[in-house]
Order: sequence, then C-alpha cells, then structure tokens
Amino acid sequence: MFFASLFILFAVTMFFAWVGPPRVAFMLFALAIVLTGVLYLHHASSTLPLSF
Amino acid sequence: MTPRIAVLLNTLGLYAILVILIEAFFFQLTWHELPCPLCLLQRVAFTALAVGPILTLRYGPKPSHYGVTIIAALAGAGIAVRQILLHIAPGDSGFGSPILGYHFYTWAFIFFVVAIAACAAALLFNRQFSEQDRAPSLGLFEVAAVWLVIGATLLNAASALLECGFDFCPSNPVGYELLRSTEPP
Repeated sequence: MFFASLFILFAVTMFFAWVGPPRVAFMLFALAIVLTGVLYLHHASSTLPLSF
Repeated sequence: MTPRIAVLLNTLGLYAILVILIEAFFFQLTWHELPCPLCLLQRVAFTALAVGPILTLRYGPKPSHYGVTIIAALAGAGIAVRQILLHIAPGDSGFGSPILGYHFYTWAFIFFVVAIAACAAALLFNRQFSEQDRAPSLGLFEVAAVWLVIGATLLNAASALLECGFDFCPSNPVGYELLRSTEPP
C-alpha cells in the first residue's frame, strides 16, 4: 500500500507539473521525495554484508 | 541549445523513462520475478525523474526543472547503490536475473548517473533559458510522452498494490499478496 501510495503521489505530482501551478508540483515533489526517503530507511535498516 | 531543442531532449528523456518502466514490467510478467522493496523504490525514483522534463515541456526549460531531475536521480542512485552493496558477498549471485550481464539495480544506477550527467551538460547551455515567458508549442509526440509516463506510473501503483497488499512489502516477495488472500485455504 505504501509503494502504491508513493506511485500515485508521483503521478499526481506529474499531473500538477502538467496542468499547474508549478509551485504545487514542486511542493508535492518535495513531499514525495521525503516519503521515498522514509520508506527507503524502513527497508534499508539491515547491516550490509560487505565482503570485498 | 535553443529552447526547442531542450524541449525535444526532455521529451526523449520521458520516452527513455517510459521504456525503462515498461522493460521492468516486461521482466516482471514474463520472467515471473517480482520486484523487491528496493527494486520498487528504484522504479519510484524513475517516475520521480519524469517530473522535471514534464515541467520543462509545460513551462519551458528552467534550471530548477533540471534541479528536480538531479534530486530524483541522486535518490535513485543512492537506493541502487544500497542494493548493489547488499549483494557484494561470497556466494551471492545477486537478486533476480541479470540483463546483458548486469542486474536491474546495476543498470538503474548507470541510468541515474547518466541522468545526472545529462542534466549537468544541459545546464551548460544558457541560451535555452533566454525565452522565459513563452510556453513551448507542443505536438502529439510531446503530449503523448507525458500521459504515457503518467499512465505507466499508475500501472506501477496497481502492480505494487497487488504485490504488497495493504501492508509493507516482504523483503523477498514470491507472490502477489492481494491475489493470494482471495485464494481458498
């Protein structure tokens, strides 16, 4: 559900980028990028098993 | 570079994003390899890449539009690097099947770096920013690119909902959660 919501939020951002006003598109983009970061942190909390 | 050429290049960028999203869907459906959470996040970043070009098509080229694209590409590259590092371990053959020798996340990293480099190169040409108050005149080629990318993004939303259901996505998805819950026990 979280990924679907994120895709929809970016689709809405694109829609506002297209129909305007651009300020709304920029604000939605900022919100969506922050939420992407939050979802990333949720899924990337495990230790990396690095072995070079 | 004139504003007209900048709009054309941004349109081609939108079609490139569309091809990547369709290609990811193609391998998901034909090879039955469901995208992991980090893979889905990279797809999200690819859709985020489209916002800047759409702004350019609608309002003409501006440095802030390229800035939006660079931020999206940096986010995508960071996610792709995390997944590359996850699979640098003895006996780890990577997640999913390789395409032309590289896994999807390695290709994604390459594409995000190319997007950053392309934006940096485009920002070198100041002439495209000279006609600030004139919206570009667009044809079917440009308008179709915008709506096709928005459509592909909504298709990804539907696929992610089917795959993850109404909860967080499992780390190693093996089936569509929403379809599984409708199956008889």
